[in-house]
Amino acid sequence: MEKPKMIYLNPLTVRIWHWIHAIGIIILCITGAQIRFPEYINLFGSYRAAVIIHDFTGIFVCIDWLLWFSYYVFIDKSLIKLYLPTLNDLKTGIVRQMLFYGFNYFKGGPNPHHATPDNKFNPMQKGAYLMIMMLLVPIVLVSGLLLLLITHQWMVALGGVKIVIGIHFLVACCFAAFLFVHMYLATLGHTFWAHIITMITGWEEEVEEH
Amino acid sequence: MRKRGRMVLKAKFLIICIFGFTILLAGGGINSSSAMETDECLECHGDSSFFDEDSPLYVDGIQFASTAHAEDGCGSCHYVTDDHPDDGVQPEKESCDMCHEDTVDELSRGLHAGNAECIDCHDPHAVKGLKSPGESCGMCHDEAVEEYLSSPHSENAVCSDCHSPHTVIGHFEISGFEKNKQCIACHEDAGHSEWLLRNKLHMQATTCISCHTDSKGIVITMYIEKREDVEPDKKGEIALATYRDLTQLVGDRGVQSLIDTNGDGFIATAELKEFNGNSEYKSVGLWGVLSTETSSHVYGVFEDRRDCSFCHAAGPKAMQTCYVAFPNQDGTFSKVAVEEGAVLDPLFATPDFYMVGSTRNNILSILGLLIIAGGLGAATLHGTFRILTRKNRRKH
Repeated sequence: MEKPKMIYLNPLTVRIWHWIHAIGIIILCITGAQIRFPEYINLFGSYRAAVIIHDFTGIFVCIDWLLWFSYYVFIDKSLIKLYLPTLNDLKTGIVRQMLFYGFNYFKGGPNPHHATPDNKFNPMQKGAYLMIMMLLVPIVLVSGLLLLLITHQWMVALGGVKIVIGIHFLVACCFAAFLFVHMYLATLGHTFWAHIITMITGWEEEVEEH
Repeated sequence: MRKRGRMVLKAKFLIICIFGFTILLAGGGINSSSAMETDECLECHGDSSFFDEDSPLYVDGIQFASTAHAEDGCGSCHYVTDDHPDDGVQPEKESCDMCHEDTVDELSRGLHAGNAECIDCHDPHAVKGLKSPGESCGMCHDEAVEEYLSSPHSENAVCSDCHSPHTVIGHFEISGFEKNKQCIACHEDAGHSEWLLRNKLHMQATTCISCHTDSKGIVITMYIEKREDVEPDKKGEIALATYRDLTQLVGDRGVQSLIDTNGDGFIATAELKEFNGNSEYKSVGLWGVLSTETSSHVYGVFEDRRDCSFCHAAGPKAMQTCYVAFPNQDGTFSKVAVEEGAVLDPLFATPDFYMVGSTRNNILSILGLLIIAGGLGAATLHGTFRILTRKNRRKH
């Protein structure tokens, strides 16, 4: 039996960042839910514990995001190449990928995207990750940091604490929604665990389309 | 003729002498202390065989001698003649304002004016002068005093340590910040920072009595704070706008017109939004302080208040009552009721007041939950079709 061809898709730095970020976002979502709905959710013992964990995890994720950004911009220098959709992606790539997930996947059709170290993400992933990592994550982190400095005059300049809280909450809900979709899509590899194993080992089996 | 002239002169001199003597006598009458000395008074009024010790006419001579009033003597307040008590005239009390004019003036402007007089609280014949809480404040505020005396706080402070009986003003007429100052005067190092998150914020947005008494009914009072031209020593603190500050903004329309634009003595959510959106008023803003509707005197450290969820899990239903406190010319505050639920408005009614967990807006919460449900629903829907169409993928 021929040994499957393996490609090294995710370097160690990226994997460490991904899992720290994933755990951080999950903790932030759960503690955030307890902070907003304390009458209904109490997973961390006390409200005080939830706030402390939320604050520290938020700062940790901030640093983690800065490391990720610095790595892709200054060390790997691949941020634009990996995350910015190309013209072809926008013209046809996104539609083809949507058709695959929406129809062709159910019919057993092939995935139009084949991941390589230089082109890891399909056009839909590029758009989603670009939006999340370059827009939503900075918004939720900056608004969170502002809420730590709640009486600062910046808060007034931004229109008040309620605007900042509202934005923080709604963007956090987007993350929670994304988390479900992301975890589900992670199971859509050629096997149920394929993408998940790649994010642990870094290696992915290259699938031959027939 | 010359003899007749001398007679007239003598008569005039006599009239002047009689008039002068009369004035001297009258003067002696005004300075009543000369009519009877303190020692003479105490011969009877300090003798318990004459007057029962519980009688208001009895004066403990030893105690009285230690008071400041003893220097002036009985006669400085009570005028009697040398014939007292045989003259049958009941001596009148002098008003305290002969000496304590400023204090009596203060009293006349407070809530106690017309309801209590000096001797209701002060015993002018006693060493300290102030009666016990039960004998003074308790005469009218019996429930509050009874409550207070049952709390450990009463071992360390009396009513007047927190409430000035001369400038007494109502529960709602004093700002939350002033109330807290009373507590901080003794409890400066209260030690909240050891366990309370955002300690300074809590101190600025809560009255001490909200947690340290069993007062009922959460109330949010919005104070108008200055956001420009704040004195350097008040940077980082809440600098309340004064009556004068607000008059400069609204002119002669009255400070309440700043927010209560239709002058109906009630503030609608729309009026709050209008105030917050008015660029002419950007030098001021609203700062919310959590307080209580009623004021209890059962003071203490309640362990359940150390659990943040005591307030933060109170839920939006508990956050319905709100007032705006407008400063008056005399330094007091007038509170105007705000439409129920205004603090729960998602954005513009009270943009700077948010009590995490409790003043969340339900529409925003539903919107957020719909977003999450959208993500979960999309994954579930795709997964369902995935299971139903699994045979198609096996073929390939």
